[in-house]
Amino acid sequence: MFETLGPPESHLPKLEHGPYRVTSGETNQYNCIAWAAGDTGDWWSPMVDAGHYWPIESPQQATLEVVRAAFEHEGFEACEDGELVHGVEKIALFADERTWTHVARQLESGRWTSKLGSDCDIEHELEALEGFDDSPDAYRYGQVVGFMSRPRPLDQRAV
Amino acid sequence: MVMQAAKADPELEQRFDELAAQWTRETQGLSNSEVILEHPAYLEILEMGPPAVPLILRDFEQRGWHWHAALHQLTEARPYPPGTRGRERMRQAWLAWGREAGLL
Repeated sequence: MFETLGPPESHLPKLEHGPYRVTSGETNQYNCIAWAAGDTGDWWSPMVDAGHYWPIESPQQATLEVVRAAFEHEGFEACEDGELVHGVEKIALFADERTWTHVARQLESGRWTSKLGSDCDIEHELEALEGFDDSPDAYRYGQVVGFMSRPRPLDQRAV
Repeated sequence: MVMQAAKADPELEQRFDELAAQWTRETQGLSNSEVILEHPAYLEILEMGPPAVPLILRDFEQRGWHWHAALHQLTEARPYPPGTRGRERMRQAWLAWGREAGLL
């Protein structure tokens, strides 16, 4: 009854322009926000009445401000850019003209990791996820609208 | 809400399958639940009312997906305590509820 999802580049054509790799299979157990925060057991959303997890008490509206507040609770604060800084973990917040759409997390290599909704996790270049393609198959994440950072957890730091 | 397992209506079941497939296809890349749960196909499933519940539970059992909110809205039940964490734990609680209610 249900179609297979197809490879990520069929939904995000810019992935074809640079190296990317799938790092785990599709699942709806967690979403990009959870993945960015290091949680693979919950789907993070302020709509807790819909059976989701949210780390703070907030209005049940998925605004960019509410998302920023959740990551502040996780120890992040706003920063200028996505440049790699040793010992610092950064996230990039995406939004379209209406609301937040996606969060990606920077790896220690400087590349980025993303959970694509209910699809797979990938390692990628940040710009590859930007776009406003309205085609039916497109994952339409808009553009990066801000960065946040926190000290990188010790167990993720290179020696 | 009093519910009972009804004999499946083939037309309802076919329409449910079409809508669920469309909803899945068009929201699979999304993480923002507010956007996922305002998709027209999902809203049409909600308009089916309680007769859709056994179909939702069947789909929930077979492949998961974002059915927690629909089940809560259509049944007024919540088979786990507020603040429960773990998507799979909540899904299993719904499936146990469905079996107990004779809907699955």
